Amino acid sequence: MNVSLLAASTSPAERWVYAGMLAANLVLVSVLVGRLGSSLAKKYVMSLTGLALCGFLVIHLIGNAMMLFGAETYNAYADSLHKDEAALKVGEFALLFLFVAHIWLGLVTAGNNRAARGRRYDEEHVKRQDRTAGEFLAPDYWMLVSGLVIGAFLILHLWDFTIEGRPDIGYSDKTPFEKAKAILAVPWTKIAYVVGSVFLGWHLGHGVASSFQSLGIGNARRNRAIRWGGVAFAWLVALGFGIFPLISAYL
Amino acid sequence: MAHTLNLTLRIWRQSDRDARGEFRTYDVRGISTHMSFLEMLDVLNEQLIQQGEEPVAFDHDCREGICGQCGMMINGQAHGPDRETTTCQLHMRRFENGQTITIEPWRARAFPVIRDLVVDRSAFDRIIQAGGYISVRTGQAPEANTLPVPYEDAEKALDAAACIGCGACVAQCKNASAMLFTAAKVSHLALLPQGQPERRRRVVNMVARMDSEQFGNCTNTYECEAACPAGISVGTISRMNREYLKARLAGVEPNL
Ligand code: FES
Repeated sequence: MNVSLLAASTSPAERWVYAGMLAANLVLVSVLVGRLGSSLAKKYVMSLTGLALCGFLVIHLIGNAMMLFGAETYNAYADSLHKDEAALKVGEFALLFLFVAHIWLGLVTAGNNRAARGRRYDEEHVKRQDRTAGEFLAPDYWMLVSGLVIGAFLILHLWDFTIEGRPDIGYSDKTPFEKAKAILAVPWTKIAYVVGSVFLGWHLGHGVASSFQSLGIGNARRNRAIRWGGVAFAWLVALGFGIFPLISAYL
Repeated sequence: MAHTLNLTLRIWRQSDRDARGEFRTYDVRGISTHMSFLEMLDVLNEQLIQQGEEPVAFDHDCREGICGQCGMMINGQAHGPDRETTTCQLHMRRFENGQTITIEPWRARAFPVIRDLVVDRSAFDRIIQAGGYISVRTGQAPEANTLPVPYEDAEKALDAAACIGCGACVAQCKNASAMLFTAAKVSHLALLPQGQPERRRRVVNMVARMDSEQFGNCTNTYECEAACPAGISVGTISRMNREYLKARLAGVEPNL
């Protein structure tokens, strides 16, 4: 048994480090957003941070997949992440930056967009013919809502796994593998993690393809591939992450 | 099938820019299915005038889909239910006898209502002023073959140039964004050799103007494309995103 793993529960000092990281990122992003002159620049940052976060999701999913190979492999992977604590903190800082910037810009642009309409229509319907059925579920109309749900889920997730603040999980005597299993064994948590995954997939069902358009990468020929690629990725993420809470008892 | 329709119209009435405005309901009878939507409104207005009421103000000019004046929200859709169709080209045969039709002006902070269904679209003019022009030498017309334009580019440029500036893209967009309009103008000129001297300045200034007119941001929902009577593609938006990025990376600053 690796001793470092047993001591992995976050100390109060480490929690202060995370609080500092968040504060620093809020300042950093507020400065950055103030410097983004145009609506297009905002969309570029929105897209780039979104796509970078998708890249992170892939790495995260690979990490999750280690659980399939048993406790040994997963614990070794978790331990390897903590090899270089300083590098890990830098990575976490960058990751937090991506989240903060993406969410901040999402809120800012959503506010602008509401204001740009002014008085709302009494009656409003889509004109896209591929949208007339099931229009109310189209992810692009719900990006703010799905984003906020994902944000709430993210807080829970970080509280569970990074801050290790759950009083109902005895962190100190568990390996990472046991921690993950213990957290996902709690029924409401299981549901919350599935819901979080589904909302994430829903969000990406629009977000991925939209990012390419905002960055000006799409064109008539490539757009079909980009759209379907985005939807496929969204499904992969929803299923990939959503499956673990459901099968965790059998791992 | 009935050849005449009796309809109930719920129309936004607002006496001027600062008035509160409200929906009012009118009945029209015996509307021919061959009429255009505007002709149906003409019938209503005749009726209102005879009753000594104020007719409903709406913009129109060509009545053949080229001037872009006649936009209105018809049952919650810009220019009504048909694809690539302006309100003036919309036929009453698209409606059912006894139907209620809700008619609203374009709603956007950048397009204030002037009266009833008429909105002030001068924000579009100011976007054009910011960069929708080219520099040409005066004097004799140049020899036709001095500026060869590849066929593909000419086609794409003219597709973008088909924009009639009606504002349906803004009206239909859930964010009241003017991206499709601005992108059509930027694309049109960026694709042609005549548009090259101002290419970078143009996109930066037009986008800056678009932003300052307080249109919304683009969420890539593509309702604009579906509502556009001229069939402008959202590919133009992608092109503008590219053009703007390149121009800003090259250090071009807006200068309005
Ligand atoms: S009146 Fe000219 S486009 Fe409809």
